[in-house]
Amino acid sequence: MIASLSSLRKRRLKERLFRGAGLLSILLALFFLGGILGNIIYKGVPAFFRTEISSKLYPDLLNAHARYTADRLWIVASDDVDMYYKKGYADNLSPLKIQEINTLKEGEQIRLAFNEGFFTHSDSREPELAGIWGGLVGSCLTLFVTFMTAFPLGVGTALYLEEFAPKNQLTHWIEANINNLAAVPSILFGLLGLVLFIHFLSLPRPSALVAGLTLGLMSLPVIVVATRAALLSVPQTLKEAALGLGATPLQVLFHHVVPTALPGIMTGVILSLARALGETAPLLIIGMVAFIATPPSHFLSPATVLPVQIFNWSRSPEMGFIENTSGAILVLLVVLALLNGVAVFIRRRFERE
Amino acid sequence: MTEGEAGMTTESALLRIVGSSAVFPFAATVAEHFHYKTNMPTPLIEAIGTGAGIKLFCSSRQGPDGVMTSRPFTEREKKKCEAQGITFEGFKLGQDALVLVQNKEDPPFPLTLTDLNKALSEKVFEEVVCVPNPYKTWKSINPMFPAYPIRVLGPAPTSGTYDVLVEKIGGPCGLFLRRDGFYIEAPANENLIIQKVLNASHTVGIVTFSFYDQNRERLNAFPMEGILPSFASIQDGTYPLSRPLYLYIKTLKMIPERAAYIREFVSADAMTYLAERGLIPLSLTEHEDMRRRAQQLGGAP
Repeated sequence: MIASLSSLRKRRLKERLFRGAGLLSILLALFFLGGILGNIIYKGVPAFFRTEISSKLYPDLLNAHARYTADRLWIVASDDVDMYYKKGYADNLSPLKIQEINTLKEGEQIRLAFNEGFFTHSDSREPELAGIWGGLVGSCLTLFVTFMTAFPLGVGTALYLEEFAPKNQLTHWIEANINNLAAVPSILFGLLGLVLFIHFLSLPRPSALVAGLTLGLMSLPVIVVATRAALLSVPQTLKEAALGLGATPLQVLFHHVVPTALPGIMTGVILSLARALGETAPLLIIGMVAFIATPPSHFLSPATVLPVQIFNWSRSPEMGFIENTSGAILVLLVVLALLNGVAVFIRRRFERE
Repeated sequence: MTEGEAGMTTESALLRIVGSSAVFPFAATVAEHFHYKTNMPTPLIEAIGTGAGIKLFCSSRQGPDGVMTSRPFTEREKKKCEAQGITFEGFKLGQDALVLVQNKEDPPFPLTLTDLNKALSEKVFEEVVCVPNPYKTWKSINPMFPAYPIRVLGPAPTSGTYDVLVEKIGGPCGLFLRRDGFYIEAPANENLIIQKVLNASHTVGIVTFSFYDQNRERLNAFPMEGILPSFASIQDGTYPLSRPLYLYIKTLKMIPERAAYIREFVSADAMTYLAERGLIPLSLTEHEDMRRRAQQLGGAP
């Protein structure tokens, strides 16, 4: 009796210890995540504001209306002024300029305003003029190509392998290879893209087409694996019931199996696209490390993507690019969170029906 | 569609410049000013490294219009390029320098190239033979130096900056920097080196001049052979760790955009705004020479 009691106490203690360890590890993970996010937000939020200086026009010479409403034109200040006004860094300002800024401050002729240029401008070497528009457009074009190649090929492969292909040595070998490919580091797909699309097919180099095809190659095995997992989760009884009622295998597939598996398939596709959106390494290999000041107009025009632009900014010496880098990371995080949100939404929505 | 044709479809040709990441920020700045002034499309600037840039530049008559380099072409590269039927002309743009920095808490001490060789080389020359680097603290190199251990963050062997560093400090015992943990190869991101140096005392970082210039208030620079890095000392060549930067462009069938871009690069305007970004300008006579040669390029608008 006593022995069993002490054993119970021991077991409870073990349980408490295990729970405590679990709680500790999640707290630790949250602490690091919070630290990183906090740091990025703290550094990145100022990027959404810019310093502007007012220039007095000639009120007497303007039309009667403008004399009262638009006698001031706000012009974006240089990055050195911006850094001084926001954070007090005066490394690159002469004492004379600092005095001028202080005079402007007294006359309320300098202000912080929302930096819409950060969203509407493309890349620039001047931190105060640089924006993410070019990168965003490039990312969208690239993602479109990735989706158009990886989705039909990936889902088609998975459907065939899972539902029609004979189970023999060859298909077994193909399956094993696809599973391995899904775990291959992304940079290797960059090398493959470089050889295949640029050296062999000589497609134009920093273009959304090449980037999209390369990322498509990268997403393909992930989509195949996710789709096959979703197809496997469809109960065998459902298929047998449909077959028993006289449906052909094709009808079974498209009337019953695919609709049931669709939430799983869509989740896999969206998550692999989200991964492709945040990918940098393979794109560096295929030569997207370029300074491109105009947003791409079509799939073959020179393009860069948001993560590569972040990479480029992070290597720039100007102080202003530190906050721009963090600001762009925030935008990328928001887009990724939105994509993941869409994945969750689709899954819930289809599962209910 | 080849690379050359991609740009030709628009009214004015889109220039493509590839090469050294040391020249990249300057070339990109000039590209923007060039666009503002002439309304021609902003040239495409790609940082792929000096070696890879030259290879691409010389691969065909199409391909990039120009290559940025942190060293002149070697004879072999020139021959290879000419064998493809490519004619080109080089322009010296200015100087860049490597600066050893520490955070403001540590007083810098005067180093010589020999000291640096002892601190960073894989093997050092001791009396008659080359031995694996025995120095662990600065004090063991020179009793005047502080006693803390050698900890230097600098460029990795894949960068052109590493080549320059090795070339400048290399002694008789081979051209490799030590790999026993005292020299730390940082990835090609100098902001990271600066972050590390700011957060850790007794740590030395090796960065290019523009990065030091942008962070002057937070960093101390080491004098090298008694000379502190500054615009003047780098320009006249007394600061030992400096290197020239070049831009080579194809001269075959001179298109107006190429000539106009080069003219902007060597203009008096560019001299001012590039100096603000940390490029050490050429001496006045050299600059005059470059401008004269740019005028002779032809393809005048």
